[in-house]
Amino acid sequence: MNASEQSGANCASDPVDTQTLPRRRRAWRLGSVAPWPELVLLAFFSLYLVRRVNTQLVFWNQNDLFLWNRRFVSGFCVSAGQPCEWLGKLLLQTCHYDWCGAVAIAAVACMALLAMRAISLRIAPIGAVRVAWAASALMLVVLHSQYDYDLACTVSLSLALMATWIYLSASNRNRWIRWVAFVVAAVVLYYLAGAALWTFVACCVIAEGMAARQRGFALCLLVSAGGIVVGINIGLSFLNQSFWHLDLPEKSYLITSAWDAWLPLVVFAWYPACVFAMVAFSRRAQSLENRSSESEKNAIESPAPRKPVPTFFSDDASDWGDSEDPEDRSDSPRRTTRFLQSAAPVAKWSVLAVAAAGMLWMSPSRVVQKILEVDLAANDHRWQTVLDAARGVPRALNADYTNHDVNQALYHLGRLPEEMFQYPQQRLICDHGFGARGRMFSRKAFDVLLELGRVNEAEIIAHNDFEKHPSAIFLLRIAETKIIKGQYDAARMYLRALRDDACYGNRADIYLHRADKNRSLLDLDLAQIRARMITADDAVQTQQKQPDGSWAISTEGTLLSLLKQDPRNRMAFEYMMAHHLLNRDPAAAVKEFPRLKTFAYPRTPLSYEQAALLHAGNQRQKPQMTSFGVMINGCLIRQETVSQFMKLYEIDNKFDGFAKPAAQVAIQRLVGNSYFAYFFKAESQDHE
Amino acid sequence: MNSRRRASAIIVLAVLLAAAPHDDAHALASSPETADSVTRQPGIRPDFSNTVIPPNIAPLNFAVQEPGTAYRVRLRSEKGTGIDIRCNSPSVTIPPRQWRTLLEQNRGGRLSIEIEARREDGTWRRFAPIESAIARENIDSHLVYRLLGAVFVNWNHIGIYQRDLETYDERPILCNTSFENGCVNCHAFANGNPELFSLQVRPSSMKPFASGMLVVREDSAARLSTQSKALPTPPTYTTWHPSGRWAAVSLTRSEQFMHSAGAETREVYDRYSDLALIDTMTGEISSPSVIADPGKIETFPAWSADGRCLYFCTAPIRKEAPSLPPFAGSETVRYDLMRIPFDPETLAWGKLETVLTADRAGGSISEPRPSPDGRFLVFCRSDHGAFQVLQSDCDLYIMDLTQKDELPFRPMAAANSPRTDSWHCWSRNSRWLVFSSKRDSGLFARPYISYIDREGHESKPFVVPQKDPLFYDSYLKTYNVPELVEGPVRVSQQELSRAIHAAASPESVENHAADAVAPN
Repeated sequence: MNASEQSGANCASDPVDTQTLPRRRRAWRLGSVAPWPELVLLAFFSLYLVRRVNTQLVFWNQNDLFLWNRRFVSGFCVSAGQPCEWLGKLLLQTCHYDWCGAVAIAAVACMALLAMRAISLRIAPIGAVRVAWAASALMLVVLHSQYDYDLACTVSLSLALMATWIYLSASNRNRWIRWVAFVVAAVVLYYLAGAALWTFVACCVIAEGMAARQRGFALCLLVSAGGIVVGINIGLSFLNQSFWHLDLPEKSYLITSAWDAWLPLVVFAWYPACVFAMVAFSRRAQSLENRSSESEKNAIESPAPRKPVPTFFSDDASDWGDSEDPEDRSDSPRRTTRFLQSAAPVAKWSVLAVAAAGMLWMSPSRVVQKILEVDLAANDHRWQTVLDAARGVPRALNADYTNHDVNQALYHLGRLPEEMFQYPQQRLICDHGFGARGRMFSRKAFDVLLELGRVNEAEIIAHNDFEKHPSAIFLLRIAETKIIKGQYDAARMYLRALRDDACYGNRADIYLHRADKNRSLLDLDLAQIRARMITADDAVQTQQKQPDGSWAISTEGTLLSLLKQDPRNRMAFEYMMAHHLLNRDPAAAVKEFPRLKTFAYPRTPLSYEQAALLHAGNQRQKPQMTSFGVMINGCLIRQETVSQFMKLYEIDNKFDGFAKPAAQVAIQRLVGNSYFAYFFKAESQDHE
Repeated sequence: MNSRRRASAIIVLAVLLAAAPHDDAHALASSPETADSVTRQPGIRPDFSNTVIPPNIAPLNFAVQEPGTAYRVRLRSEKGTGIDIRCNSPSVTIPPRQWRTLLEQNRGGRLSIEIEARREDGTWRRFAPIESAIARENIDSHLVYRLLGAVFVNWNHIGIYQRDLETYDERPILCNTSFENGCVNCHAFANGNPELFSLQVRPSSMKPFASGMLVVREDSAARLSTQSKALPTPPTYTTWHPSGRWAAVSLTRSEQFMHSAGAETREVYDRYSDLALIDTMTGEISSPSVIADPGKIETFPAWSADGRCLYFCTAPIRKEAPSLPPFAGSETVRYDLMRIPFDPETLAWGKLETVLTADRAGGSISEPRPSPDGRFLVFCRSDHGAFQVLQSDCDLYIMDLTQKDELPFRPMAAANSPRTDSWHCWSRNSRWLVFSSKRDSGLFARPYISYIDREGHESKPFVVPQKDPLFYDSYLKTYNVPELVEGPVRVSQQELSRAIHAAASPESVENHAADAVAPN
């Protein structure tokens, strides 16, 4: 074997005479890879995940159910790839705990990179390894900044690369041993990681077929992999799957992107592509070198001493792996070396620039982040956070994703009638079909209906969602509805199931502990909801016939029924008034003014004042003047609001109506985001 | 043997010994430890106390509901050596082989379970023994049922499963994942024969296919296209004629609505329903007016043991007020129990006869099931309607068919519970009744077994045992329509799936999408 073949990318033997290397390099290359770059990356990656991405939002977006019991685990044992799915879910649970999750994710990703680097060092020059490593690290960081990226992909990738590393460690053994090692690794890997097997197979095939030039053996590996896949699938199909008594929850994220289905393909195909590129590059460099003059042969016959190991981020062009010291170059032209020397810095900086641009572009979507923040804050009853985060959501998405949480937050903060129209408003929750759109919407609809006191309707949404996507948050919600309804035996069933959940189990434990001690399961929140719960079935009364002849539940009907059964239901009142205001029906809102006394508002809320004046204006009614001020249907209207209303007439006269954009601007300037602006804006849209 | 191998052997042996289970069952030469006697019986879960058990049932594993640091359990009967179990946890696992031997040797005898619990101070408490009877008659070896979640509107995973009652083995017959999460329901066996049965399938919104009836004979399944312009809906409740050729089906249009208040949110009512007779060999359908009165709702057909009489439930069709939703007034509908003679040779129907009115029964009657020996008939009674599984007041009643005039009936007080008891089925020897009961949680039905003696007296029911005694505590699926069969169902899921996806006949009308009700 000549020196060129020796120094080529040959995974069958280490091309470097390690005895002549400095000690630091020996430690670097002697069968082990010092993980310093990965450790540095782990620190920065963890920080990035916590501060920029927020792993709790990743958890919130993806989590469904994760039970610490044999039954749940065994459900992941009957199909290829499911064990890694389980590990991915386990990793996701750590995200609930912020730093813990960030470090865990970063560690798994760094393991993949460490394995990748160890493999690459066997088959490519150090410079190419660095580029590939940096690009792969960047890719993983970008992927993990997506809230719908499945963590099981990284786990599977790590296992595949580890298996590849182990396989290539046996590359100096004879073929039979290598084949056995391959088969054993492939069997284990396919069962554990499923499709990631093909990453391992591709790397091994490229290493054997291209780097070691053993194409026949590479083909044999490929065929063996196919046989392993078929064999394992057949074997697993014989297992009695029904014995496991559990249907694994299908993946159901709160928010998914259009291309999330492609991400696993990107992840699993990326590294084989890198290997292929590195090996191809090495072979190309090798063949160029082989074509050079006789001086190269002389140089190889009496090898020049090795240079000291450069630092990892050195700009020295010789880092690309050229074993010759540039000062020792012979007089004959070395086109390869000159090309590399001139191209390297440019290529390097170009790659870095593209990478940085890509990272900025692919960084976690702020809109998705805000939507998830709003949803999580609403779930946790952090109402001010809901309002703060909602301001970051574009108006076009507000109706679906944040409107309902915002209204609920305003209600809880006591500001719904005053500030409702400072936020974009589209429609009011109470749409019973709202839950059909997915888990996020189910949660919103459930929470509002439950708090209103429409417990059975909330129960329907909870059961429907749980049936479609078993999740811990709905296990808990179902249990709470049963507690509110006094169905403690049924509640216990759900709490016992929830008790095994990794993150929510402690809440179930608290309830069950109370149940065991014969103490009430009703805490303050649930007791308040029970007090508001309707007790008379109004299913018939709340149905409304639609134009097409079908029947649907009427929002107004349900709210009125709530007030009829409990006139002190403040949430029902405010939501009913909101419903009238959103429907631009100030007359209906004014009609309910006598109820204001029940709730002891310090003064008539702003939106109601404005509605009252609009109603008076529509009816051409002269408001009642008293010593306290203007009164409409028993409610005092502030002078400031009256003055604003009078100025609206001026705008009307000036612009000949409110439809013109100039009129809208003037209204906005006068009254800001208030009911007046909403009312006339909607009217102008009608006229258009 | 060199020292290394010897050391390895010792290590392996030590590991095996350490891993040996602590809970073991063996005939103990017990040391005469004293135990304080307690006069009451211990609490056990599930409650297998004071009942009648089949001699071929799987071991009734249970959990002791008394505090203790260790437990001793002794199972004794007149014959045989008995079984002794010691365990540190409250969960008691009975060894299957010894259990089977004990029961086989003591058919018609009694089984006594003595339980002792060790206190924290090391002393023992002995509770009063739990006594149960061992019947002489076996129960049918397999139980087929539908498993689904607590479905309100949407369903996900539904399947028909079979459980070997003599072991804990449960296998799927048909999971709906094999046909795009459609609905499968209304499985019905001909005389408990696992090789002749039918089931109904409906598509989900994921991928429509024609609804219809599958008929399984031995290992093969075929779609029986029963939809034609004459039939408004696919068949639902099915009963096989003892001859195995005809099936009487109900063509029911059910709708669901939700109560906005009250314990049970769901309610299902029949808008219309008729009966039809299907020749399963030819697919020919007849629906004469005696069993398909346009002014009445006919449902829940059930053949008598000799096939010469068809029982069913009927109620007048309710007039719907146009200004009110269709379900308004459904709580007033009550079903009577009827029967009509049938001549299998000429296919002629006789004169309709009222067996029991809702007024006399004190509620709406549903799901009549005559016993195979023709002596008794068990039915459900609830306040109103025919969807008894959602009525918490639904109870089982038994009627003596051997009397001439007014057939006496009574509630099965020993079997009933304050919650829903329904979907009952007889064993072939007419000694066992399996039914679904929601007594534990009010939401999830479990299969219960009760012994019926020759005089029609029922025993206290017990739940179908599981290997893990606490299995039902957190199992969030409900057992629907348990049916006893005399052996395992052998048709493969692949065959059933193929039949489902087989093209329907040209006479089929449009598919019925997932807006119809999934019975629960």
